[in-house]
Amino acid sequence: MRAKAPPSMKGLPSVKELEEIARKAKKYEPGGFEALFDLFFERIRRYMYFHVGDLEVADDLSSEVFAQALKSIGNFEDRGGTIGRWLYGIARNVLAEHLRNAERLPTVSLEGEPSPIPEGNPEDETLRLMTYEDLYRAVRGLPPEQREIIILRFIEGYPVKESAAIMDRSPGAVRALQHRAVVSLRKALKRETR
Amino acid sequence: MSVKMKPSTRKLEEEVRRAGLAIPPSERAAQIREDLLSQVEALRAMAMNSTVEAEGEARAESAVVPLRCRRVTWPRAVAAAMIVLAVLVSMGVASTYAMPGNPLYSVKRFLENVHSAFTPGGESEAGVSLSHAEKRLKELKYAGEREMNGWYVGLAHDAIADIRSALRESAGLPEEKAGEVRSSALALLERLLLQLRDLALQMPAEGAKSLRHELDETFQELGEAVPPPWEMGLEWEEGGKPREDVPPVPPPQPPVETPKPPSTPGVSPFPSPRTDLGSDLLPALVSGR
Repeated sequence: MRAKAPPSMKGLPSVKELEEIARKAKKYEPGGFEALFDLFFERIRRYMYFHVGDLEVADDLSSEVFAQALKSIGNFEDRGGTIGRWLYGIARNVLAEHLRNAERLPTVSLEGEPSPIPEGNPEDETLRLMTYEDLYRAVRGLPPEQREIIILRFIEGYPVKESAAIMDRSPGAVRALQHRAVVSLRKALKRETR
Repeated sequence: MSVKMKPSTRKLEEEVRRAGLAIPPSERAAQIREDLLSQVEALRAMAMNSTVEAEGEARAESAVVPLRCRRVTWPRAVAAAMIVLAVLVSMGVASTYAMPGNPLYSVKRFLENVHSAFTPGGESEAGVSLSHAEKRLKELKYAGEREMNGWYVGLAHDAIADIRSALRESAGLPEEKAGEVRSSALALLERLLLQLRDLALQMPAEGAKSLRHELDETFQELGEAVPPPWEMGLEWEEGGKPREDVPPVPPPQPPVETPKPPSTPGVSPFPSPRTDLGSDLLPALVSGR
């Protein structure tokens, strides 16, 4: 039975368009894999960067994700625009393999990054004082699953159900995890901005 | 369904998103994309080739064997195979008794070679070689009775080759078994000599010489005295004339009872060919018959 199509995500094409891209990519038709790469490469790279904290490594891991996707695209079965979910599944595996092999997580400072977040809402002093660098460090300092839910929900804008599918959890568990992640992130940001 | 968030949480979400989007785009993305797309091109070409090949094979298959014919192909093939098998088995059985000149004789020799090839070495192979040599002697006799001159040298040559093969195999056997093989080999050699005595004058000179050479070597392998050429019946000149250097014929003498020398180990119990052969051959050679 065909699964219910996921709601469209921010910046992503419609379910039908995703299905068409997946169909073309599966048959190596022109425009198929190109579109897949253009849509998902930077997303996967951000996902990797927030986990590993190194842009070079994030590039390598993202490249590996697409290489593996190309190898196994023949086995992909579309259940209604689920190509993105499938790619994140590969990304999780590649990341887990990388973390197993890495002795420790490297930390790289982002020189030249834009500095402080422009002053906006004065009600949250913490956020006002925070820089992107502080935020990256804070997210990386979270436990892996909390980090993952922050990336999927806040950065990539995936809905709860899609995030739950990617993380292989129930939507309820994902909501609870998101709550804990937000609490942890606040604490971490307070520490970073002190 | 989205999670209800407090305003500050929404703010946090927004800032996190902005931070994520602020990550500079990859400088290597273009290169990675290019590499990936060249792989896609290669895979597309491979997929197209395999599709074309598969379609071509399917077309060829359906063109050569229509569906209706496929149903009867298997029974026909099995029946044909059984007929071929039955013919081969019949030929094999019939060829067992084939003699030189028979169309099945070559089949018989082929099956003998197959038998030899699949016989394990040692005593079994020596026995097989000796039995083949015996068959050659029977065939030689058959050919001689029908004056099939062209067969003499070949059959004699093959008989000697089989005997020597048996002797080679006997080298690795226990003393007792080796002795039995050597005795049988010697008996066959003597029978061969007797037959050759009658056929020698009808053989081509070159063939007879080569036979004599092989017989000399075989007797040496056996450690037996080599019969003089004139006793073997293989020494003559072209045209059937006797050689001038043939020793004179000794006058026939009554047999004298002489004590037999004690047999030595490793020497055949058979009498030496020199003592048994040649006495009645010589007149034939001298007279040029």
